[in-house]
Amino acid sequence: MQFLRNLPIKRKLMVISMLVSCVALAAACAIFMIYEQTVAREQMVQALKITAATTGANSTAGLSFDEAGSVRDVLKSLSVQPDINQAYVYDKNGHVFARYLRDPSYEKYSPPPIGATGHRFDDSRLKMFQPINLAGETIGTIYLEQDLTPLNTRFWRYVQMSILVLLTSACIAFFLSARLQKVISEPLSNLAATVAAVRAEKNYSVRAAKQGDDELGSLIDGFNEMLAQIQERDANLEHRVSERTRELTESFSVLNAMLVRSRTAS
Amino acid sequence: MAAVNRLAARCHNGRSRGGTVSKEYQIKAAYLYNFAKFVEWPARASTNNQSPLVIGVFGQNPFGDALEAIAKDHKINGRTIAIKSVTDVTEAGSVDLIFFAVTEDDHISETLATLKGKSVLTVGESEKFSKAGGVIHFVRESDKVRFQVNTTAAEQQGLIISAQLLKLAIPTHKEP
Repeated sequence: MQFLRNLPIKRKLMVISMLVSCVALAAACAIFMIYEQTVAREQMVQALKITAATTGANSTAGLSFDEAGSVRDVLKSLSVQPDINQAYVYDKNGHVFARYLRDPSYEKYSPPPIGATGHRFDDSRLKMFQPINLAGETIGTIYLEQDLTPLNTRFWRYVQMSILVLLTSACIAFFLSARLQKVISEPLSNLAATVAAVRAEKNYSVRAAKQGDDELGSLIDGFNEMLAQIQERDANLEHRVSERTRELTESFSVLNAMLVRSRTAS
Repeated sequence: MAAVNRLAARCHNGRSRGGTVSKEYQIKAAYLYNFAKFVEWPARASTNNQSPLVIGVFGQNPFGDALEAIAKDHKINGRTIAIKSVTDVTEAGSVDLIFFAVTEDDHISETLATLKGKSVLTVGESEKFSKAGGVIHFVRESDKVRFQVNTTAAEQQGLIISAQLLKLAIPTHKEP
């Protein structure tokens, strides 16, 4: 706050209001961004869970009667969800029963070993294992992998939007504060100018203009009152001097008259 | 073949007492159990959710211990599985699922006719069984066990067969 100390009040006010509004807005944007990401991820997990459950349920007959082709067909229907990169169905013993690869180039990856039921986010992918149940028994496992690129793209769009909002608001805040700071800085600079004038010209008849009934108003009132008192004291002093002068002049003329009279008598 | 081994391993728990059962019948035993998961039976007065699901074998049992091994380790929607050897038609009407051995082919039409409307899922493996109106018919296709489903027969028995199972079945020729 040291740098603020020697700035004119006008600048101080603008710096403070800009700083406050920008920091508050940045915090709000950050909170919204975090919230949005959390919600988007939760929704994504929920949707993938449903997909896993449906796909798993549709694979039960294929798994039960050793028809890998039928399960492959079921998995193929995942192609309507372009974010799903790959899917695997494992049998009860953990062997790969059927798989789906959106892009044939994934062929080079070996199937992931069966992990714990549930989901995790890693290297721009959402990975999920779900058991496939039939008639109260687990007969296999389904694994789905979803690409997070759309989610990340959305996040960066959000960041860009936030920066835009921040810049626009900063501009508006700048113009507003430039105008509003006058409410405080103008009466102060008026007062300062009046003080300077009184000091330079020793003219106690000028008065500072008052704009409102706030602390500044009473400060100006006080100042004007002090000027008035000085003026009054000056006027009184002058009056007494002239009275004294007049008295002296009178006594002088009386004395003179007495002198003249005595001179004539003698 | 790997699939066959897998299935065999699935249903072949422990050593069988009375000699080894061919892989084909181990698979068929597993399928019998799996069919039960894809079929809905109408509510019966004599059964509820707690009573075991009864799989009957009519005639000479070709499965050895395979069915018992499955019944021991598995449940269907919380119901235990009971395996029953069936010798006469009245008994056949009281089970949920019945497998007809080829040995019973001679009277198959009459037997199936008696079972009509008794909510029994009939499974067989002979041409005669299929012609006589059995519900599920095992078919061998190269070295794979597959099956046909007679939906009309299933409807007559009041059974609801899952669409997933029907999708896997070999299509039957429509009877005129």
